[in-house]
Amino acid sequence: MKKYTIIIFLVILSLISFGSFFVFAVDSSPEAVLTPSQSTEEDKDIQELKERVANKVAEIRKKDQKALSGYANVKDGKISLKDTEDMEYTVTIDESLSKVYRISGSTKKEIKPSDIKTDTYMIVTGPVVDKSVSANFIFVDDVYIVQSGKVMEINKEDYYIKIMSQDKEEYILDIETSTKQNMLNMKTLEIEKSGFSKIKEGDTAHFTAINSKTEKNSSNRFTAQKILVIPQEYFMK
Amino acid sequence: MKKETVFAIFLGIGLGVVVSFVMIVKSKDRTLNKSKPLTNEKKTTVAVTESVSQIQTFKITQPQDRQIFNTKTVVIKGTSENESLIVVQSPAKDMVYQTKDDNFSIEMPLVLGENVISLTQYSKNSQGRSQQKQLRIYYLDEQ
Repeated sequence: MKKYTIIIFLVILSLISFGSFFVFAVDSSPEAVLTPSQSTEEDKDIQELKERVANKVAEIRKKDQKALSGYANVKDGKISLKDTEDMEYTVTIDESLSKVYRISGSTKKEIKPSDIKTDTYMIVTGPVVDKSVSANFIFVDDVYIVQSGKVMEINKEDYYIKIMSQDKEEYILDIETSTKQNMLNMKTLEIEKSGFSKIKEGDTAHFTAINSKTEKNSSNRFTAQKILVIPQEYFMK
Repeated sequence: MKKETVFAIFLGIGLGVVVSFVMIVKSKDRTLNKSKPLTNEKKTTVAVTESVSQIQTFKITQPQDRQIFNTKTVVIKGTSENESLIVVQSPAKDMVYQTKDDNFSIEMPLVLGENVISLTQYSKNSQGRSQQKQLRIYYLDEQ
């Protein structure tokens, strides 16, 4: 009888232990033990999490939206764009969907795709696949040169200065009446209005100019829009 | 049924319940240990902080080159040497900024279209030597 009792005891112990082991080993997910009300709450949380992830993805996608810019090359009615890194992209224009604008100051005016000529500087937005971009928008814009370097020569007769940039490129800048001339105040570190006569050889000049691809521009000579001079004395402090 | 048999049955059930409880708790712990966090934010922060403190160079962390904006201003953030002079120039505005620590944050206005923004860092005692970074970003109100 004792033997029989021990067998019953072992059988029940094994059944309960192994039963529970298999239940939790096969499905250890929380849903396995959830009551209906908890499950609804969980579903709501999952839905909220899904929405948050979807919003975040949309936000990142919007944040990562990028554009291409460069000079146009028009051949047989087909437009391609060469960017600043010399990469060439074919620009596909859908007459009914793509919009083309010309930017002028703070305004833009719609133009026809046929107004885009070779050497027109343009910004293109739209999906890029390999070396092809399906244009959503094309903006024809000016090309700005934003550079800096040491003043190497000052010509007080023709009102130009020669600048050597950090990458050893020489620029000739015409200082005209329209050029905004500023200088750094060494004490206050404020930008103050200045004049051509205050620029000295050895100063550092930061300038902005428009590259219109004219003959003058092709020899690295530009009309300065703005110039900011940092006196050489600032670096001797 | 004999008294011993009933006792054995209850003892079996009791011990079975205890073993089951232990197994449930253990399996939950194991699941929690195995689960991975959804983000590795903490790790990234540590890595970024370490690299910045090791290299100590002039970097722009935001915005990204060729990024499109539909707002008239942009905040440029980055890292630089402490007490260095940063000259920011763009077709819209020129600015001079002296850094107070290793990070800088500058708000710049944007013009419609392409904005070439050049940032030049003159570190303290640099004697005119500089580090330059250039950003090409776009303010396009149609986007």
